Amino acid sequence: MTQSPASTPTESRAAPLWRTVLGYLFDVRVLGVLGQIGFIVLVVFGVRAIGGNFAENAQKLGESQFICRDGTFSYRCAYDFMESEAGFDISDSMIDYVNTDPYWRAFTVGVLNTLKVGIFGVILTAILGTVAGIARLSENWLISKLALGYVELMRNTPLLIQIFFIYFGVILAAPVLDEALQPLGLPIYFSQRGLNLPSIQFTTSAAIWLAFLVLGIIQFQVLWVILGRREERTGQPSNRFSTGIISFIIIAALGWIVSGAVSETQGLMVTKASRIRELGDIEKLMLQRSGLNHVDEFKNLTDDEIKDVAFQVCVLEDSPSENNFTKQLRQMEIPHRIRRSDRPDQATGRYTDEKCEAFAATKSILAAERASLENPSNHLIIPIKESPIVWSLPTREGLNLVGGSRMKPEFTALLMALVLFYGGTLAEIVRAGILSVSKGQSEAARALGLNEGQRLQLIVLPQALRVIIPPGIGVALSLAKDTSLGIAIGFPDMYAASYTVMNQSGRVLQMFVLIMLVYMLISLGFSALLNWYNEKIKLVER
Amino acid sequence: MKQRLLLIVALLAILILGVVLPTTAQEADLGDTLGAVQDAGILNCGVSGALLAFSYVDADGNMAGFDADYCRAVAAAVLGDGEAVEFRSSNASERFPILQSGEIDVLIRNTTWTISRDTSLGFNFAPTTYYDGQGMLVRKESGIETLEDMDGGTVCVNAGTTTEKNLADVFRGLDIEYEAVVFAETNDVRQAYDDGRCDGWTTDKSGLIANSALLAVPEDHVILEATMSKEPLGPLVRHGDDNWFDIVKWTVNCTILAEDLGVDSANVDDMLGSDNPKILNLLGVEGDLGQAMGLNNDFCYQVITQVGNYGEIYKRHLGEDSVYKVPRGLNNLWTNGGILYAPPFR
Repeated sequence: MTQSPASTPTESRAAPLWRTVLGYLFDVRVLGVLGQIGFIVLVVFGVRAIGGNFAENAQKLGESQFICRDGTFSYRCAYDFMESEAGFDISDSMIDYVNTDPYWRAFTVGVLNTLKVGIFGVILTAILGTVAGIARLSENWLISKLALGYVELMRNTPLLIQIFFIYFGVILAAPVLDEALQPLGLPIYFSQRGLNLPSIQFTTSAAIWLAFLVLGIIQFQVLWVILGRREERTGQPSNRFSTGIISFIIIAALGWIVSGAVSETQGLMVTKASRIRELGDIEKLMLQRSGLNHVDEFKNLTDDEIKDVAFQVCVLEDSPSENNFTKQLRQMEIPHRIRRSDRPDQATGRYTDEKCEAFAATKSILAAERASLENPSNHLIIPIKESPIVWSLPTREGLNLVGGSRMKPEFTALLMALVLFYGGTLAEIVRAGILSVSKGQSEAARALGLNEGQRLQLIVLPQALRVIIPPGIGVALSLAKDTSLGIAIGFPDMYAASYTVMNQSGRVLQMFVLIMLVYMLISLGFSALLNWYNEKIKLVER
Repeated sequence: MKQRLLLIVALLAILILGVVLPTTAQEADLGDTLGAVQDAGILNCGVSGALLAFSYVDADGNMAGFDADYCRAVAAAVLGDGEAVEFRSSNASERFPILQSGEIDVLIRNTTWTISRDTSLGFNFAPTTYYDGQGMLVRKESGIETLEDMDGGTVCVNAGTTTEKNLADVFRGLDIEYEAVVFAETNDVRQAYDDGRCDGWTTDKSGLIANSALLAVPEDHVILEATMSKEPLGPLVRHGDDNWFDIVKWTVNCTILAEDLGVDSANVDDMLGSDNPKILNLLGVEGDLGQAMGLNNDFCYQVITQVGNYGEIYKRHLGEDSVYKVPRGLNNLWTNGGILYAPPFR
């Protein structure tokens, strides 16, 4: 207090005014206040300059950017254009999307793709980073040096370069589709067009079957307990496990048959004129059309002849009906051609244009679509048998593989690059976290006779996690944001979709504001989740 | 306590000042492009910079190509010096914002003239310099002969172009299922197509011709006959400066009319003494057609001497003198079976 001029009145009374003012100015506390004021001035005017620029640019873009549906102009209508037709295609979509959908749906497709890469990326990075971080500290020379090499390689080259390298140098260097790798002749194809795997699809009757499965599990448990008690009572070993399994299989099989027999939710819409009344009629029709006597003779036809006589059927792409019906056609050995549509109305359109003779889908869809036809009574819906689950196998058709599930090369490359890059970053964080646990802890664990795995799992990692999680959140956030690099290799993430929207509509400012908002939401979501986890594992202090 | 109060009051004062005071940031005047260009002594011209034959960096490090020459033509008309051009390379999606914001004065970047760009994006299109159409490049060995054969196939395409939308429209019309792989940069589209990621690559035919020369084995590929769209490519300027629009428009017309009248860079000086009043008007020997736009009357003379007429520019970058040897086709004078037709200078 003695330094303050105000607190030494005798001296200050004698001093001239300027000295008093200077004295105030050089007072640390006053300086602190002035400094803060100066900083705020800088911030306020800085923000104003940027904001002014933004507003000015928005002005320059002209009123046509903010046109409302009623023809007036207002800033409130800045996003009205999102309702207009997108007109471009996105090949990798998790929801139904066709190019006649509005811009906002295209944008949503992009957001979902971003989330898909982000979520898979964070999970895989966590695994890879932890493993690599632990490997760095391994006492095995080879393992630790390999991990070191990996970390240094990833950390010291730019991410974008790595993405390009993985896409063009690794993924696209895979064999072309015609020479796709097929390990062991299984229906698995690996080529430049991606990794195609078989998938299972549940038809509507799967619910009944699943109910039987649940029943089976319950009876297994009940049987287990009952037989266990008897075993205790009598001392006679009863094969309770195999008994349970066998009865479970019996119930499951029963359920399969029942669900297939009970439900007939799948159907096939045909015209009355086609004279198809049940599935077997298709065979007769085909024989008549091709002038053959037996289905076996279809094999003798040339490709062109088959193309001419093939039974044309419309289906919804990747629907259980598609696989269910094509499976039955294959079993009946009837040459067929499948036309896939994204939506029922598209398929109906093709059906009415006579581009296909039949339309296979669930009965409810067919009933609705039949009602929309000009003359519903001219069309029949034939029930088709179904199994609760159907396999969808990738098969070559024309220029591409259809069916099954597929990991697209762009998605694979982006995910791989992000996981490898951020795995390297996380490995160092994990290593630092483990090193932060004092050596005494490890020594104590060894002294207790814990093995290496137990030492890590029970003693070291729980303590290290507290140090790892906070910087780990940063890694997760960076990864989530760097998904926007996907545009470089043609992955339709949010930024790529917006990029096209911007170009088609010219609404650049609006889209950038939207993109930033969504990225912010995604990042805040990720960090909220991880903060919650951090809160949970941190040292409980009393 | 007193200090804190003081601090709060000071903060409030600053905030209020910050909001109330008028912005001192200088308002860029976008209304007088000609004046701005003449003051700077240089024309800011937006080009692709990565499209062979149209605008690319040549072996000497200069921007070369058909579009680049039109930038030079505008500079010659406005400043009398065809080399007074600052080229600004841009990709498909940044080209519009840089024109809207005034970073460039004119965009000559193989850009298709469409109604939405002309109206809601706020641009004006000068006469078309190149009539193009969208094509499809495929591998010869694939057996694809028509667009219909591409059912189920994969197509590589540039993001944010009319091409991407056309592809969707045409294939929807043909009832073809396809997968689009969309890249932001042309080089990546080409690389992915060349690596076999796609069965076809679609863009303007001129672009396919120029780019296919860069494929690993150009002879293995063929452009399908089908033309999927109309793509009239030309220069564009932003709304709000009619005079500047006139200047760009008449620079293009000048090159076309010069070819029509038989004036080229070789004979232009002789033509100054011509007895054809149309030529004298074109070259500014008679009349004051340039002054009406704030230019010198000899602006077209400058364009022809420094850059050449339409035929010369075409020949140099796309025609016989280039490696591409693209036939003139639609891009011929109306008197020679094309659709190039410039209004008169009078």
